[in-house]
Amino acid sequence: MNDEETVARARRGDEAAFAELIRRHHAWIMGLCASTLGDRAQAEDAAQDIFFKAYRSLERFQGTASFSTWLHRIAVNRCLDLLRTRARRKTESWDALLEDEGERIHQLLAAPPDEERKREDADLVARVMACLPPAYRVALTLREVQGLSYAEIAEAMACSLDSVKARLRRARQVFQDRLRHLTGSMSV
Amino acid sequence: MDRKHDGYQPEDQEWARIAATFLAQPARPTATETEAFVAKFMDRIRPEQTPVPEAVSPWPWALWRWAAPAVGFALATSFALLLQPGSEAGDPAELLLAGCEAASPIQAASQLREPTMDDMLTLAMEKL
Repeated sequence: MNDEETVARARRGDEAAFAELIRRHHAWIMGLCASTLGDRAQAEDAAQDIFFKAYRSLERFQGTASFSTWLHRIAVNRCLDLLRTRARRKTESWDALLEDEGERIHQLLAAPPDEERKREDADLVARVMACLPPAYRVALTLREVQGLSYAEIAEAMACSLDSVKARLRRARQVFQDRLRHLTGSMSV
Repeated sequence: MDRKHDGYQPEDQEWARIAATFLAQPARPTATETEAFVAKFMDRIRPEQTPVPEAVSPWPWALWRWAAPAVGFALATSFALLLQPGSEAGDPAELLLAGCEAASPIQAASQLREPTMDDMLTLAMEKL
């Protein structure tokens, strides 16, 4: 049964159908939230909120876009809200982070990424990502982690294709500029 | 299908290194984790599905439409009557209490109302 049929059953009040939708989309929703928010526990809470919002809004889902795209939109909005709330509360400046952890960041970039390093340095990675503006962070996550096309990102972020391309270009530029003197010694 | 095949290729090695370090795919949840997630979600929505019985009013709505203004009017009228300034004689209970505090029976009597001829005669007879 595809998403369309499962959604139709869920809209008729079939709980098992909505549970099936969660099973199908749980992995990528958790991936998006974990990559964007940098914290597994927060990611799980955000994912619950996203599915809850989808459940409550199911009657408004008209089917003009795919269920996956619609869910992406809810997920992106939720993640952006959380990032913006977090940014208002606390901001570690990039310069302060570089001063404190420059050496560790350099080692992180120099070493080949493996599962163990990812676990050890997850906190540092989260702090580096937190220095990016929320919209850049989400756009980069959708592109690099989720592998969405420009058109899919435009749908999820409710903006034009040109905006997506400009946002991604700018996000990469900012990231590379900030890390340039750390990555310079590693270039092949 | 490689969704990135729409013009972008990660030829920039520097960016490739940055993306691999900071934008790596997180660990996929296990089937057990997904089932636990689903169970938690279902527990959250189930209280919403339990219908809350509506409170049944013993009074029909139509009666309340008319009774409420009538009761309000009655209360307002009673309140207004209570606040109405009293007669020249005053509240008998209050005046009686005031009289007890008076220095003499005559004062007490005079506080009640203007003494009449009967009052004067009564007092005179008492003195006799």
